[in-house]
Amino acid sequence: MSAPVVIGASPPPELTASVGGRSQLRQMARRFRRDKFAMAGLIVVVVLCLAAVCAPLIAKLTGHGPNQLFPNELNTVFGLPTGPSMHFWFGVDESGRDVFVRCIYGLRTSLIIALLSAAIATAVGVTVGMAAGYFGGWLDTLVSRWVDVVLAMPVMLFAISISSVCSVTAAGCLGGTVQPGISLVVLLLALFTWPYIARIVRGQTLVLRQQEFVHAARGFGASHLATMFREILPNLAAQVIVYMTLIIPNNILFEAALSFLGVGVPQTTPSLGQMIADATNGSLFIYAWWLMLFPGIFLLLITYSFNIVGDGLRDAIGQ
Amino acid sequence: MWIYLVRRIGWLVITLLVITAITFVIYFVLPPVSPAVLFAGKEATPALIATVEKNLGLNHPVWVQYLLFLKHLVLGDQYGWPGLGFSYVNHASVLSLIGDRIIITATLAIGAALIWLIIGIPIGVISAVKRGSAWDRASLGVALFFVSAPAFWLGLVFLWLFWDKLGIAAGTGYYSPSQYGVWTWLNHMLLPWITLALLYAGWYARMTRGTVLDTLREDYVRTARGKGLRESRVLIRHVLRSCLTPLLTMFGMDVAALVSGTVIVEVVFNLNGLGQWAITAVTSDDIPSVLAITVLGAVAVTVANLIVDILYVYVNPRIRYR
Repeated sequence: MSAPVVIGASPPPELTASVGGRSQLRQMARRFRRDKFAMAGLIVVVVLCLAAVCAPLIAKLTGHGPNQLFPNELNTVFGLPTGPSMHFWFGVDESGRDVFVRCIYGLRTSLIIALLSAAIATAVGVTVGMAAGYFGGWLDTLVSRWVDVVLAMPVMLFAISISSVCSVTAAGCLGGTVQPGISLVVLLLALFTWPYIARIVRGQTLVLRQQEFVHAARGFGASHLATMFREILPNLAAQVIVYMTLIIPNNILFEAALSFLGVGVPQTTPSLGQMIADATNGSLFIYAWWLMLFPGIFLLLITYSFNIVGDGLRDAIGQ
Repeated sequence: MWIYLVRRIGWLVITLLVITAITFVIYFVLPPVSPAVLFAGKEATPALIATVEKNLGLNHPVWVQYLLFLKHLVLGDQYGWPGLGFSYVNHASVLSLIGDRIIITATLAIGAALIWLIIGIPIGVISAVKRGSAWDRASLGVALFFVSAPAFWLGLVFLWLFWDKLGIAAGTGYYSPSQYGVWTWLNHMLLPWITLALLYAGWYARMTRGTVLDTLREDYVRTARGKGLRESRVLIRHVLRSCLTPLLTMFGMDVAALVSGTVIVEVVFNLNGLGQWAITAVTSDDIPSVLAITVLGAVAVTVANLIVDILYVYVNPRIRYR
């Protein structure tokens, strides 16, 4: 130590410059960056998201649109599609459309739906969970019971039910507010995933509510709303981010499953699940394996990498 | 403990009421057309619609309709118990249409459940014990693969690879043991079982690994080792016992959820179980069938919840003396 230590004096400048508090999020980011698998997963996620965003650009570069037909590419003898080649990297489908371009567009659909529904579910789940944990009492009981009920519902069957009932006429349900298509899928996904977040947030809020800084804030005259959003919410952020990252791959798979069964996005929107469903028509995929393999690989890649990122984030806050 | 049971059963009844109410709202209140038109199907004559209206009691107020719906469900209607109504599109009572299919779905579910338990849990335990080793990393990676792969895609890949290219697996379709013999039945159930099981096996392996890792840090494990017990005894007698409770909860819920969860595998492998019937019903506008299967699925999950909670009381003595 170069300078003599005097009790009561402020620390020497070289110490103040290096000592600083790190927020929970910063610590989490630091640990995450050190995890090689997590970073690899993050890179794949970013690359795939970029590809999805640039879908129209990719379509223009290859010269093939997602719904453009190239009937000359079909095997002229039987009318069967041709496989991967120089011009069509992933081959063509039974109508003569470029599978590669359709995969990118399908990835785009999946990501839009998954991210949108995850955002809505997080917003609803955090608000409801925080309110339940903070105020307690009958609100807490009501929310907890409601969460239990939603979690007990057979999700796939309800999704199929609502989709079928609202597809009977073009008018949709509830006077036209619930239309079959992307908005319905997003709504359904958000509806069935917000309880997961609400439950976690409620548990965390119950713990945080007892902490001293919350009492201090209230003592200074902060309203309930201010306390919740300024004191409790920042401390929930890390956990919420982790769970949101884990909900996204689930949403991607669920939307793909719904589209595969024919109750997801409409036929006109390219969807990876629907491409795989089309490949099963007449067992076409046994011959034209590229119709089934490549959309599935895209789904697997995006889901796997999101899961790795989620695991990495969970390890980063858990330590 | 009895108070706890009574409370749980009371809660079960409330949950069932809420879920049936939600299902009722979806089918009777949500649609833009009258439920009678919905239920009667696309080629309905006005006379048929009138009959359906009378059967469903649509002249009465909504809450009376709901009570009628409940009463049919619990007490049965003219077609048997439970009263699931009549499918006007297929000209048969819903009960008769789904009777045989339940067995197929149950076979698929139970077979897959056994397989994923046998594969998933030991792999998870071994991964936890050998934490950080090559085995651990490899099994985690593989488990994550099966958790991330879409089930329907996996089934198709298996069919393409093992049935077409390698010729070692049987094709799609269900062949009942009584008609075709046990061997054919088994052969055709193998791929569906494995496809369904692998997804859950991956999940269970990860969960088991996490739970075992947490338990290994507990004080009583240190005590057991300190006493000089063999590692295998510590593992099996002390660690696994406390790990089993969260797994039991998950398992109960998962099996019940399989009522709806088998839909994908049934469609891919062309097994005429409940799931495939639900999809066929949707595409052919057979709304009463979809309604029936939804209610059955919801009831199954809720009842399984209750059973798991009751078993929990026996597994976890702390609850007994509340």
